[in-house]
Amino acid sequence: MDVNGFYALSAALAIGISTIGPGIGQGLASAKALEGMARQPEIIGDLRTNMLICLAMMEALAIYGLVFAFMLFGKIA
Amino acid sequence: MDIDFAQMIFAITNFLILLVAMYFLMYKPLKQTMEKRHDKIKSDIETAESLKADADKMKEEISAELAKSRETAQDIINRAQKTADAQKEEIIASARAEADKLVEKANAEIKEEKEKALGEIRDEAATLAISAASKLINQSLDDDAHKKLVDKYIEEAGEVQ
Amino acid sequence: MNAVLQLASEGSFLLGGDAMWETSKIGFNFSFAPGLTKWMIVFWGVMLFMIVAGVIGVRKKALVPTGWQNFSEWAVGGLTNFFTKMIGPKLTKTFGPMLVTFFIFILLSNYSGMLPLNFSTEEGTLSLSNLQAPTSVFSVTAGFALIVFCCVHFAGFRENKLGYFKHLISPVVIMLPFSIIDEIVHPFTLALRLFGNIHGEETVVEQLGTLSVVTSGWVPACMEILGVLFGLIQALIFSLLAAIYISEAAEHE
Repeated sequence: MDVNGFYALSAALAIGISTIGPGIGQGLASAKALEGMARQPEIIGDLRTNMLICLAMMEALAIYGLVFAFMLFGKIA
Repeated sequence: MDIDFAQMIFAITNFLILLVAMYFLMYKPLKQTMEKRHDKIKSDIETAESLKADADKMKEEISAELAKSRETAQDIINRAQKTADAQKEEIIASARAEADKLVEKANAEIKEEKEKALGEIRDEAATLAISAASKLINQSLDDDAHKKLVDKYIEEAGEVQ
Repeated sequence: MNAVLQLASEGSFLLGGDAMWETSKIGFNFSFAPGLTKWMIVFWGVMLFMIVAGVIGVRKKALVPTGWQNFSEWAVGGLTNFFTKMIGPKLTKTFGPMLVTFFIFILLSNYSGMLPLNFSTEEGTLSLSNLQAPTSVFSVTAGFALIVFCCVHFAGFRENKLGYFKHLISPVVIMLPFSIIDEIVHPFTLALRLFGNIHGEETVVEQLGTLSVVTSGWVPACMEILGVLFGLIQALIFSLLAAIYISEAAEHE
């Protein structure tokens, strides 16, 4: 395997591994937020906004992985 | 990852142009319109409220007036009733007085008539008695002397009675 | 300036001329290349659309709004109320128009990436592909993040005067480098998040379209339906986080 092969492999691994954590975290956060919404429908607006902010924070991690994947992908000659 | 400063400057400048354009062409007029509407609705509500207050006041005034006039009417009726009662009493009293007067007058007349009649009867009786006595004793007496005698006698008899 | 840019374009901007790692090796290529690209046209198109739609929306100034005026009042008024609830009326008075414009512009440029209007006559045949959204260019999102960065510190400085800089050394002085990194990372993630999501979504659609003949039509279409949701959420997140950063800076003791 030449250098390009390693670049491709590492790009795939970067995005693949970096989505695991945020995926689980976002699932837990959304589950709890939905539970809260079901329990108290009167604060749905606040909960949704805060949930979106939290999801965005977690999403950032996956996005770092994605960006690194793009960088590594761009290095394939 | 490519960062091109020319593109970045392009993005920033164009966004700021867009921001200024949107602010002056859309955001400001929109806000003015909304504020105008807000003011209009507010003033409309205030007008409606003041109108309602006026109407309430007028209603109260009218009902007060109505109560007052009703009271006045009642007063008038009461007064009329009272006057009527008083008049009635007066009429009745006067009628009674009149009747009493009439009765009294009638009584007096009756009394008078009776006395007159009694006097006549007395005279007649005296005359009869004299004629009877003259016939009886056949003795003619002075009429006047006899009459005096008889009267005296009758008076005595009346006193004895 | 030119010398710095020269250095930057040579890829030795961050670590000096004979550093072991050149900047291109860690993935950032700095350049300065003025020139018209396709997404700039899209950028201007979105700008033109917004201005024309806005002017049409407020032209009538009717007291009882109907049609497009009603919609634009609903959109701008709703967003302004949303940000007012978020960061308070005082900051909204200054930064509200900017945040609303950010939201609408990012939303429209995310959606502009779905329009199949990109004519290209390469290889002799005319082909149509999706436009490149301006927000899927890192330079653009970095520029937006730079605007937000300036606004955050302007808000903080305006509200707290010189006391604003105290928050950099708030618990202990040793926190200073970490605080500075924190301040830089905030707008950096803001730019990276928007760029990554939109560029990633576009790349996925593009790649799915080339997978096989059977799936080339409907699989990217499904992805684009999802992209409608993502575009909205990313626009909301960008303006929301910008608002939160601004209000956090303004609230410092």
